[in-house]
Amino acid sequence: MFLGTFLARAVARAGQPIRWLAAPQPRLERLIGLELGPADRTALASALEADGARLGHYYAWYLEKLLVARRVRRGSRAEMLRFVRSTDATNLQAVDRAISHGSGTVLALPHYGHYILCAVSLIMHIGETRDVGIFYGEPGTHRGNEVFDRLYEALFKDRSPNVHVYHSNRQGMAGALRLLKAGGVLIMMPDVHQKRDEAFAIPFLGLSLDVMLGTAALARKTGSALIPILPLGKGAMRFRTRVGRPVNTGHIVADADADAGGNQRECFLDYAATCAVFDRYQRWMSGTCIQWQYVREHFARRAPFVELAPDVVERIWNDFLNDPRVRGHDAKAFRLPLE
Amino acid sequence: MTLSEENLTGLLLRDVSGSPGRMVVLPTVAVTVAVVGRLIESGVVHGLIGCRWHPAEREAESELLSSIHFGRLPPGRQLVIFTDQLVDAVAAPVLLERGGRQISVSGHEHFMNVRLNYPVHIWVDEGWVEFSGPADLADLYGALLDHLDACERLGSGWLARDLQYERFPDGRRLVRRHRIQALRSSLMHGAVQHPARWATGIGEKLGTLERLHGRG
Repeated sequence: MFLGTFLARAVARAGQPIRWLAAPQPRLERLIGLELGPADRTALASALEADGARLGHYYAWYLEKLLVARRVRRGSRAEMLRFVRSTDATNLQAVDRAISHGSGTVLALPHYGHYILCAVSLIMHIGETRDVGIFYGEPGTHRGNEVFDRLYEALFKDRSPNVHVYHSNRQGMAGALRLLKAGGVLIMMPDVHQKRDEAFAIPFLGLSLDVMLGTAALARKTGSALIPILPLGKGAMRFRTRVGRPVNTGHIVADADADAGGNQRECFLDYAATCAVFDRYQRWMSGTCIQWQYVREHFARRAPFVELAPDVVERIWNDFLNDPRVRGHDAKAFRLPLE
Repeated sequence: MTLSEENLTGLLLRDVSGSPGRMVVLPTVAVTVAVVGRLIESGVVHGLIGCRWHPAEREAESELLSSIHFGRLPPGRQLVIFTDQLVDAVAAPVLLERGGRQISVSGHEHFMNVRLNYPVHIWVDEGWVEFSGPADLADLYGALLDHLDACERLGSGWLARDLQYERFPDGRRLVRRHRIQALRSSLMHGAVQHPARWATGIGEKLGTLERLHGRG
């Protein structure tokens, strides 16, 4: 195992000079299994421009991810745990301080950098003394999440009684609520959504991003601290998790929400908290947003976030409500005979 | 019928002066985008509806639609319509049902044919369906559906393929709810960023939007 990790890290280090490449390298792309269509290239160019980086930076990052994925798939449990520890340069005392406040904690971790290693490392550490869980979409409905189930079974199941897995279904939600109410720590990934028409838009990296408010809502409902975290790269195949200050989930915005009763007020609070979480992310990601898993989709959509002044809202309000795309219509369909 | 530069140019170069004009319904593929672009520049095509791949024509499209709507369109105009690009509830308001499937299409072809007496030529994969005089409603809309089915058979060459979901009731619902969520988000974001400027009325608006969204 030592040799395997050593070699993987050596390859990642040896690959660092490819960061200087600026032009597309089809042979290199084939070698590392990177498939980029024309739309991907355009989106990636925008992301690289935002980062002030070259295409080679993306190649180097992609190669590193590939090496980590291969490394994680092989070896015994002990070897995998050693590998995870060897990649994590986080000050775990800072993590301990952040979660020691007498109530539950939601650690909001986006799909960025070595987020899987980060989650495993945090679970290993926190699980030694406290209940800790991770919440994610069921692999049956969320492609790619099988990796979390596999890692849980290989590393923690039947071995670490403090470690729990919760899928995003009714049973999982109930378990997550119990964990947080009992003062446990829950890792959630707030940068995904399954239904676009249920999601809310927030400004992120200069564009509009659709997100769900569930992470903030769960923290608010359980009186837990909502803490954004991000694994930032620290050399080849190493990361250090940045731990933010808790985000206020009971944010009161002057009088603006005073007349927003019931669900509206809660929705408003969760939206404000979610914006604050992503605002931290975009500041921390500055210059390395290409390490965000959804960077290509985000820049490909090119959807700007629409900021509206109050007088503009007043002007467009009636037109918006009467817009056929919003109003819908109950017209009867004109029936055509089958040919 | 395969759409080639020759047969396309052949149709579009036929003289329409002295006649009421002509509307040609084309699919959005590389060859039609290129040929129509050239024929607009050379003045053979006088107007285009469906400008997603001809963004420079947007202003002219809006003037054309206005002159059609107000009956100010001069005779002898040759118009091209990429009806496959007209998918949302504004551009495609006519709800049709055939074989148990509901789909919405543009009403321009019918309006031009029946109200302005324009001959309409609709591409389908066997060739052109031509309506020289005022057409039966079912025949014309049936031909438009045949046109969209033929577009589907063009495979990956059909540039407007990814837009089509918005013709169908589920797609319309998705777009509708997404637009509502977008405005809800903008209102809440404004209140988060500038609370003092958003002191009143936002709760009522958010409530209205939540109810609209919840309507499905």
